[in-house]
Amino acid sequence: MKLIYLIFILSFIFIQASAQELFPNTEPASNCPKGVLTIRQINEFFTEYTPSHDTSRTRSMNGLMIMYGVSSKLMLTLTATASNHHGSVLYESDKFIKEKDGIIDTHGVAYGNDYPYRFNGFDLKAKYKFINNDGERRHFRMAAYGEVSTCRVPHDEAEPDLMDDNAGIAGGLIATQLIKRLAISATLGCIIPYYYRQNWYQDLGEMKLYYGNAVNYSLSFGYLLFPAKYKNYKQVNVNIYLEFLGEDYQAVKIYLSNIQNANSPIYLDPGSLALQAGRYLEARPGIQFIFNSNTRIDLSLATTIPDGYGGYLLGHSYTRMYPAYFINFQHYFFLK
Amino acid sequence: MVICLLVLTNYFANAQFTSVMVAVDGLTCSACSYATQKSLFELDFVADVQMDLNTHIATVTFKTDKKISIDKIAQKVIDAGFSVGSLNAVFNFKEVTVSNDYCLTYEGDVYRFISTKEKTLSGSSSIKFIGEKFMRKKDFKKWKGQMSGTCSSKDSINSTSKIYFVTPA
Repeated sequence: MKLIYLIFILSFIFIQASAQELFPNTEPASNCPKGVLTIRQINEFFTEYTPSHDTSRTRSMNGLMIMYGVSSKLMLTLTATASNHHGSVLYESDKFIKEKDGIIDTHGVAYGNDYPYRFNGFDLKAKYKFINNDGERRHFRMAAYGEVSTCRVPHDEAEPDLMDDNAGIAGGLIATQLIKRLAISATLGCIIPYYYRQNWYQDLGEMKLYYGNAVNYSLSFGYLLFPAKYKNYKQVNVNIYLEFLGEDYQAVKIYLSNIQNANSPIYLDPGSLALQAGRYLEARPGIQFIFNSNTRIDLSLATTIPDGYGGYLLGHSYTRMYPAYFINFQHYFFLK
Repeated sequence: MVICLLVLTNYFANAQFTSVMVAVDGLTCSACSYATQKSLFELDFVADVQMDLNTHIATVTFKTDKKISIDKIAQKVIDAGFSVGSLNAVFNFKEVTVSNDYCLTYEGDVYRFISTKEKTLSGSSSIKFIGEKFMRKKDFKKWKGQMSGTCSSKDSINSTSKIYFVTPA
């Protein structure tokens, strides 16, 4: 309830003040203009602190995104990412699965491992704008998207992320309303990740890891802070953003081919929180600078919403530590 | 030769395009305006595009040796991801008397006047383009019923002519 109040108050403040829809962390229903190629370089990093070892390391994910406006309604986005989030396989030493006295179950995911920087895969997204109601300095648009990813890495959490961690498919709807300097956009989608497989140790045979299906949602606000009045294309534009992103995902299912009951998933230890079903909503405030009307820099961070008692009001993601920082560089190329 | 003919036709025409003012709807950011302006520049008959970043009205001027297509101008705005709120063209008229269903032929295209009281246009006059592509949906609803009937003079119209509906602005 508190969050609904917070969102309500924030939208009220924005509307009172008088935009933008070039959100750093989500896509609006609008597309790139036809024939325009956009290149965005994306970076995410956070510090992973391991209390048990009193060590910390920086986890980073970097990617290159190419967007192209096929028509005024259809846009294609191809993203390639690399990160140091995963090893080449899940190791026995990660204590991902434990076997004691013939009982096999999961173990709390061990944080604190150093992994090499590796290429994750490609993600292809098509977005089709099917409603376009334009007015003077305003518009309402709706789009549907479909996505397919090849990022089949040894991801050890239930929450799927096609851009970085999981192969799979996704789809959803986006609605964006823009009124003068303010933009509000909402996304509702689902993610169906593909399983991951590898041979496990201790003669347990092939391990198949089915990640949870997920519903993803977001609500984004953007506001054009500067310039108050446009003079020319050279003016630096400053936009501020507040986005809320979250997922509601199912638990992981792990199958081992060589155990007695191979058709049933192994028991998930209640302490393996990252493998259990979960849901969260995180806040991502951000600021954006647009130069020469064709080059933009986005700075944003992900943070949890505190409950005032040292916990989280609406959960948190197990795939990153907070605050996580995001920097995007983007340039539009007019091909014709 | 074609260029020569075009130039000559325009020279002897009783009306001549000077510019088009396109109100682009849905724009609020300068990057979007920039994309729209760039998109309009791709048309081979466009000499210049001036975009007012606050009112989002693009003023398009033309090359004299190329055939102008108002349809293509509207399509470029749509391709850029936006819509045409209104489209007015400035014609330089030489004593042309227009009335309801009067058809002006220019560069092979037909400009048919609707909802027009008889008057003589002389010098620089603005005409408004009527059509689904050229105006807001709610404005188009008001005009839709009037887009029927035939030209009062058919002499210079051939089957390949593109017909635009216009009215004095």
